[in-house]
Amino acid sequence: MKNNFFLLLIRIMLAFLFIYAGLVKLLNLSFFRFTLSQSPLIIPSTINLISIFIPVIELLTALMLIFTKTYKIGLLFSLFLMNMFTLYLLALITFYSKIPCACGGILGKTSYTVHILFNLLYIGITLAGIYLVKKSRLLKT
Amino acid sequence: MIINKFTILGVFILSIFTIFFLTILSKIHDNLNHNFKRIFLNTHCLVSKTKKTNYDIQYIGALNNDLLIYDFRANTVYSLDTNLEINKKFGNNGMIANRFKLLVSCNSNNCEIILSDPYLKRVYIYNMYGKNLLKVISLRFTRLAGIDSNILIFTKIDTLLRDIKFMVYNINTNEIKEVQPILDLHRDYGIANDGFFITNMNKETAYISYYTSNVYIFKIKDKYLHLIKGSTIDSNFKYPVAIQYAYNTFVPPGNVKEINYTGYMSNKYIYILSKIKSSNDKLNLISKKDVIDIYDINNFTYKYSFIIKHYKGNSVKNFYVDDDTKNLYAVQGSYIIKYKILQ
Repeated sequence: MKNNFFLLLIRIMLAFLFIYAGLVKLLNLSFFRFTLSQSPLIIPSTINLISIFIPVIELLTALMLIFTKTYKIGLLFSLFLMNMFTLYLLALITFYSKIPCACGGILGKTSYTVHILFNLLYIGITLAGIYLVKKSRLLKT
Repeated sequence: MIINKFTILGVFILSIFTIFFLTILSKIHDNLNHNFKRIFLNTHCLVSKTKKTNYDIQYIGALNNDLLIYDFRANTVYSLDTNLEINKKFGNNGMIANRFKLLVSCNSNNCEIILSDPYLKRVYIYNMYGKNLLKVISLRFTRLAGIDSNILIFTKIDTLLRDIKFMVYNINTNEIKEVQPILDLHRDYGIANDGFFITNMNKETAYISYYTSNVYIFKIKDKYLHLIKGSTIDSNFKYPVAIQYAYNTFVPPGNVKEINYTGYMSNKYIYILSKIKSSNDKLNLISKKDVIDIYDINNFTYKYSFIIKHYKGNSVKNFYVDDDTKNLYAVQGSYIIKYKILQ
């Protein structure tokens, strides 16, 4: 029961994060495109595609996390996205300087260090979710 | 069975691979597009005359057969002959003392000189040599170009949309029209959020971005204002630019790289002082010399480039080229230098 409660909490936390991030990007698409265009890691011709693809994937991940049948894939997607965003930020601060963050909302206003720590926290939360799934499966068997 | 050690490891590897792939792809893309070459055609400039001044010259242009310079500190416009001797001078008649202003254009047809006050957002139109102040207009502009006493072109930054708009103001009717919303700039290398206007005697105006390669040319044809979009040869050069907005003005961050510094527009050509080194530039070019690229005004095609050496350690701050492209007058530090362009 305790495990299920924590797993549900993790799913809600992750789903909320991805819904928020996806909606902020979609609602201010022109600004998101502009910040992506400033990124040295993104080829300009792919900006339009990426600017749609990322928020859509985020919203899809959130939906997968909500539904009981798909939440396991949702957790993997969430791990993939959080890993990717963290590595992207690490690449930016390692090789470049003063790049505007393409992340929308409150996170876009924080420093890179805070942002990376936040991402690492969510990677930890996702891994905890995966661990709880595995644990509950073992208990069932 | 979806979640096991291998899938979790796979997800980590996939994310690492995605970022690695993106980095490699962007590096290849950058290397392919940065390989632009300048055509020098053995063109260079030789010093023909120098004049040391005590002025802080912000503008150099032509009015009829004279050279016109604007001293920012004294808020005074001087007229010089081709031997760099001052023959006329006018101030603001003591009307707005110590007020920061910029000379934006002068028009030989109607003998008008247009000054702008970026703080008070006012535009002053003087007649020949500033004998009379013809008009004072209040206009909310970010950058301003005066074509003549009828039309003013200005840029306005929309902080909400992070967008730049080109506006045309009709002085006679007080009508303001938007030329074209430049929303597609988002798809270029960032917004052309700041730049400079240059005008010629043909009622043509160009807006050149400092931090991107975007160039916009405004032409009056058949009573309509046409907008032509072009880009400087370093068009694919991408610099990481961080954008900040404060009170409707653009605040460039410390490490931002300038692409275009200043320019001049004659009736045939646009001359742009570029800060970007091309792949065939030699001898530490950008640090000790200035490179001016020449473009055709009609279709904004690149013609060739020439070099101006730094004079006593001073780079070119502003310049003017005569119509037959034989002489170039440059402001370097507190010097005005007349160059002969050898081709």
